[in-house]
Amino acid sequence: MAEQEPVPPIDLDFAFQIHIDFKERIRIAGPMRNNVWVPAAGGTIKGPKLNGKVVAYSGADYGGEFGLDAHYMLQADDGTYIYIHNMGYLYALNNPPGTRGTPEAGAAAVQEQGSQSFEAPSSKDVPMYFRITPYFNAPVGPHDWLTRTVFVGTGERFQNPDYTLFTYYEVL
Amino acid sequence: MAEHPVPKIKLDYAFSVRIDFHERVVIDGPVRSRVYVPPSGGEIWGPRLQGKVVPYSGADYASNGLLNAHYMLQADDGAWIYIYNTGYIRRKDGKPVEVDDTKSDKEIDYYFRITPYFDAPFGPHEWLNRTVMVGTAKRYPNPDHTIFTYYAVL
Repeated sequence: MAEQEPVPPIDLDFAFQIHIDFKERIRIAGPMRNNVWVPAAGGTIKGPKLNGKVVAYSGADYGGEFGLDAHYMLQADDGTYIYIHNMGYLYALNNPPGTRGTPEAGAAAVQEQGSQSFEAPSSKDVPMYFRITPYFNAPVGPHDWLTRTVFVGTGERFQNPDYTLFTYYEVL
Repeated sequence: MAEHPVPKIKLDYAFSVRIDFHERVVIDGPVRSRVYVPPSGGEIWGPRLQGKVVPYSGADYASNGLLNAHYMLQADDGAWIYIYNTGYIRRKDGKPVEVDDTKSDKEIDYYFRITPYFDAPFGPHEWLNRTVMVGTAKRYPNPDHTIFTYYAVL
């Protein structure tokens, strides 16, 4: 039986890091769910396999209570535009799901602040589970390996200034 | 940015899923090709989930090498669990992946990696709703089946 075969291992190889700067964080606390609009205000890409920048205001994270659903454009150092779709989970370890709150909490916050703006804590202050699986679209050429490679990544939150550092590993 | 060390990622073997296939249909359209490959059954074993694949509960609707599979799983305790599998399959020799590949006994070397997302009810399986996972898959012919090996990203 197949069950007796050894479990195939998975090897990861560090690919690059993306630092994304944030200014606006808007929460839509709807009757059924929370969604956010958190656009990328800019950023940089550094690493052995990709270098470049995050195109400012090219997209946003539109995710919900504890799921990421972010769409941005990147631009490699050679000028190539690359689309990234970041999916994954983000929540405080002591309170999953937590960092973006329930619809009730979101509605209460809006009531209290009179604003849909919210702040996201740093990983240092609030230990979190923040893991992502990105998918890319890149034109035919030196970056097209991104469109046929599975990646897994981790995110680390920072405050003052507000940014996130994503670290991506290629699944070999 | 250079001041931060690169964080490591740890993976933990979660479970394996064998999926049996009988039908492999290709829709070769003018804009793209798409497949319809339903599971005719299968089983799940491993440290964190045991159960079965619900036959004909969905299919892989992959298009242009991007997996797009939706199925239902049923755990040994009866819980119904939705799985959405996306990822890439390609031949390492650069040739296109063909439907007939799974009928041949010839060993073909694939890059076949996936990232599954789950919906599981409240209870012992709810960790699946909030865990990023990554997997590797291997195809076997005669009879046509694939074994997916899933790791939780810690």
